[in-house]
Amino acid sequence: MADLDTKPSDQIRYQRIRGLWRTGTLNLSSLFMGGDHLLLCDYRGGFTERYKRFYLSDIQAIIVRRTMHWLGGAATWGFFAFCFLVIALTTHWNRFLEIMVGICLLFTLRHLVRGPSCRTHIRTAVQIDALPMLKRVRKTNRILGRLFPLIEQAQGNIAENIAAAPGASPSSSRNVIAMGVSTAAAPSPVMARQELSWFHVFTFGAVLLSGLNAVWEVNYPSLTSYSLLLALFGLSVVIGIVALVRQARHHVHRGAFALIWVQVITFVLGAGGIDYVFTMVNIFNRARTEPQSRPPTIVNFLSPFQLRHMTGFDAVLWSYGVWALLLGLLGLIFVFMPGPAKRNPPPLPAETHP
Amino acid sequence: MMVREVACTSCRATLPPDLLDGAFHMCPACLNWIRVHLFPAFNRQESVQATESPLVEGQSSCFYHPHKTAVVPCESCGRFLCALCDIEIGGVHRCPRCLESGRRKQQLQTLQTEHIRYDRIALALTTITLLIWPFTLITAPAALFIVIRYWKRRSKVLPGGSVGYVVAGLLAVAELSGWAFLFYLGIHGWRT
Repeated sequence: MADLDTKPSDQIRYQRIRGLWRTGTLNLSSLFMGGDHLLLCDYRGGFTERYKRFYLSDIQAIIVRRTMHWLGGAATWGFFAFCFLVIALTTHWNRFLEIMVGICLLFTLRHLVRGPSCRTHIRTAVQIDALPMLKRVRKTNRILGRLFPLIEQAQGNIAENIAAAPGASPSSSRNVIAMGVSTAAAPSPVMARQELSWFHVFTFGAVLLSGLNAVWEVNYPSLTSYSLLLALFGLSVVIGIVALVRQARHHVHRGAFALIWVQVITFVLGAGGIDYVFTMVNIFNRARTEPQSRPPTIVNFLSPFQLRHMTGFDAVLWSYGVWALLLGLLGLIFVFMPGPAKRNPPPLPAETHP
Repeated sequence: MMVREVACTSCRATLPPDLLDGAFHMCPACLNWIRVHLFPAFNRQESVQATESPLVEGQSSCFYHPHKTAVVPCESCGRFLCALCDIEIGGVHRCPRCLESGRRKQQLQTLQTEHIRYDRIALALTTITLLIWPFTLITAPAALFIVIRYWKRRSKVLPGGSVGYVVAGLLAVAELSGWAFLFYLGIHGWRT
């Protein structure tokens, strides 16, 4: 068969409306506007492009869901900045620590300035697809503001059309949109009472106690209270990991869900990082005070009891105490906070006996 | 009216109708803040067009269904098509065979769903191997081959499809010229 003569209508000029965004390890995606449709382009591994087209006349809904990633990101970078600041204040300022604090603060600011994060989905009659490049509420609003007139042009006046739909009552446009869905449709989700997760209670309890213990240890240092602090710290990490595993299967409160992740990550990374930094500081101090001694070929990390005697460790304990108190209190509030958790399955159809 | 629902994108629970007003509301099931913008297509009643129109004497018949009346000619091959065979994309009517052929040969931009970026492969061959420059003796000709072989397969969907090919080709030629100069120097030095 002869080659198709490509009509002018086939040659669509696309205009990029949202830049490249990382959606995987090597995957990027981008959104283009092409006449009567949106083109979602996924760059797989850098060498393959995959296209998805959403015709403006077929778009049924755009769903934007807020996420907590921006707060998580800001908190994580802020925590690292705080750690570096504490280390710098308790030891001595140097260029490396200045740069690290600066970088962490920049990332924190970036998360805060870009505003709340979100996930955006687009729905047509046959599919619901994510638009991974629309990750911030403010930017999403701006882009949707540009898209709505085009969709309206393709589908007709949004309020009028939905009001004209059967089953809709002509009231205010907002209500009209809601009514247009169908008055008989969309049964509200069945609420289920949230079950209490004792692993979360124990974890946050241990965290809270360890925070109190840390503050006590700073003011009244003793071997017993420090040993107790270490035991509580280890316990909170271990039960925290168990709670992490458990919450993958069971529905827990979102706040508690997020805080367990924050707790385990910050405790493990924080403990490792502080031990590493104090060990390095110890090695440098020894090299300065004993210039004739050779630097060690194998780095022996300081034990927790050796760490206690390091200069500036009180500040670390203080900050740990404050962080743990905050985390434990918030976590316990979230765990005991009443809230819907799970949808009940729909009732089984009644058996019919002949 | 057909019952249509919108589900939360996090927990898949059906959202009550009063939450679908384009403002942020908390999902009753998972407590996520969610905003739903509905468009008229949401309530559109899908109309099923009658495709069965039997042939009446004096009318043209469909090429693929001789017992059905033709409604439109294919704009690629000119065959008469019935309502069932007529496929309209972007205002252009085509028969299934032309459409399949166009899709296979990647001539129809609106049907293309995947594209291999040979220009990027060629660019990677010419640039990354500069770190281990002796390998360019193999990769530069390979990149040049890719540029020439796949020049016709450059992206027709997105703009800027040929820039990568041009850059990769120039780099490959430059590397090959460098090798030619090195060989020339070697032979010339050996002879003298």
